[in-house]
Amino acid sequence: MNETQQIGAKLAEETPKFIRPDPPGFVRASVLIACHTVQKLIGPKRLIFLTALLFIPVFIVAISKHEGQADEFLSFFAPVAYLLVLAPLTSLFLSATNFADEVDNRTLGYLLLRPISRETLLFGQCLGSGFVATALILFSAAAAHLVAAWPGHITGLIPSYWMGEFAGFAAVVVLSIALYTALSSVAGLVLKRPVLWGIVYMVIVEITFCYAAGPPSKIAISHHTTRLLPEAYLTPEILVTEAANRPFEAVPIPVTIIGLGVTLFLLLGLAVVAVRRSEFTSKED
Amino acid sequence: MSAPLLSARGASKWYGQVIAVNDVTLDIQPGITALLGPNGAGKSTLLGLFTGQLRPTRGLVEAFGEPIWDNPRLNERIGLCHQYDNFYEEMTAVEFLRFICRLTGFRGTAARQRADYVLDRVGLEKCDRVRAIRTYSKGMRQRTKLAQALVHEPELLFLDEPMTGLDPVGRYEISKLLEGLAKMGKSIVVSTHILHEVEALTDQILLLAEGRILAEGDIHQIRASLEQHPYQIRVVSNAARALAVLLTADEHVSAVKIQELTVDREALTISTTRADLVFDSLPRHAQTAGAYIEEISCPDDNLESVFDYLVGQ
Repeated sequence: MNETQQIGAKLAEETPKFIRPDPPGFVRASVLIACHTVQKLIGPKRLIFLTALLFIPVFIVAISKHEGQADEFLSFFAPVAYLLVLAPLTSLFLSATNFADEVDNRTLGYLLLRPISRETLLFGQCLGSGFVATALILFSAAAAHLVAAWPGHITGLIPSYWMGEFAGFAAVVVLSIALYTALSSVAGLVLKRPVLWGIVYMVIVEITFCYAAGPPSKIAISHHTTRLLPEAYLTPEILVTEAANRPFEAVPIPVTIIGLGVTLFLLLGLAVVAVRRSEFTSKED
Repeated sequence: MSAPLLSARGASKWYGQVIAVNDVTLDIQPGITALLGPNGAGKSTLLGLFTGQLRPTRGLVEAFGEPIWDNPRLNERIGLCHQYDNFYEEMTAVEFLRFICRLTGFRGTAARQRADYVLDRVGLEKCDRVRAIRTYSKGMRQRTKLAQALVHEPELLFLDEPMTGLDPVGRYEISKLLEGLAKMGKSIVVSTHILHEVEALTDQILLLAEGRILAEGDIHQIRASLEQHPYQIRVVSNAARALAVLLTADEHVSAVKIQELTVDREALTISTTRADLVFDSLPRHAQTAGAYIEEISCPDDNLESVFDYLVGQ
């Protein structure tokens, strides 16, 4: 044994025996990344902005004292505010820049150099940002419903009634956020200015086509998700005239659910392809 | 020669019309290898290709015999300490390292112990570990970065400018750590522009300029292979002028310069393409001239002169 080998052997003896652990599985690694994403997103700037944004519907409900009816609130205000505007917007702000932020901060390398796949990283980030978006929106929606049902506010919206319906509303919100989070992730991976394009998409497609009649409405995710809302949210007296042609009964609900599931699967598939192809070079490189 | 840990075959990387790495073919052997080149030479891009963060536009890059792009299992055997100083600024070093440990596969107490062990190893003080990384000095950030690269005991470690921001004591400690790792059988690829530190660490170099490998291998072999670039041999003697007369008569000596050092000491700088013949003839000439040779040195048989010469070509 020469001198170098002797020194090496001595150092090896002094160093605790290292047993390389098995890399974390898909679920564990996704949860780790999701927790990390949540921690990152609960930064002061973004959270203050989103909290302010999500306070707006609560504020509108609070100042609309005695002016609305229960049907109006449930079938128009809540779906428009939460499903058409806030779900896509919040998902966009939280998910579209997940990878871009890590690339710009040059911290993505720390994650990419671990024995976890890029798909795991993507899924974990979607899970984390989706969780934050869901928590914020459901909190805001629950607050808006509570304020609306406060005595002296919106006539006829008694708590025992809306609470039962709210569970169904919340489930549709969760599904919407999953879809918009996947869509925002694809946009974030393939577009240069995903937030800007996302807002353009939201205005042109989701808001314009949600209550539109005829085939163009089918391209809006919101058109399908609003159909899944509980019955209380589907008594749109205000919409009866403008949506007279809307074929509510045209597609059975299970088919809509399957269709949205397939859409979610396809969007995640697109995101996986994009994340596997991307090299994540920074603007400064 | 053992099988290469890392190999590139005709690897090129383009960014639009700009070529960052141009048709690189090389093998990296176990031990410490220095990757040298001026700014913009393509060092970081090459490290990106070597660590699987970038996909070669053309060619193939393999580590441990497997293609490295889109192969996360290889990350168990590879570590990278990149040149950028960025972190999750609100985290402490301990939190950051524990998170990295968990992503590597350590759980609970094992992750905590491993994070503490690696931070001890890079010399980050215990009181500093619990502060947010945004309050760290450059040297502390460098140590934290190095720690994350060592968490999983990689067999192949890539270090991009690892000494940047470290004070002399820190540089010494990190050099010793790297030497220790090399002695333990780790292979290390160091990209740096601080040539004397590389010389202290290794003789194995890769010289890169404009995306191409200019030279590869042992520094002294590279120097010896540059036949058209004359060697400079410096001789300090009490009878330098007499020696110069004898040396200029030799065919292989192209020039001799005399520099007065003190009243009775002068330095000769001999330019030659055959240093071996000069070393053979020097004792003979010294005897003939009755000269006492005080010192012989080769000022350009070092990394810096080879680097300057090759990059300037």
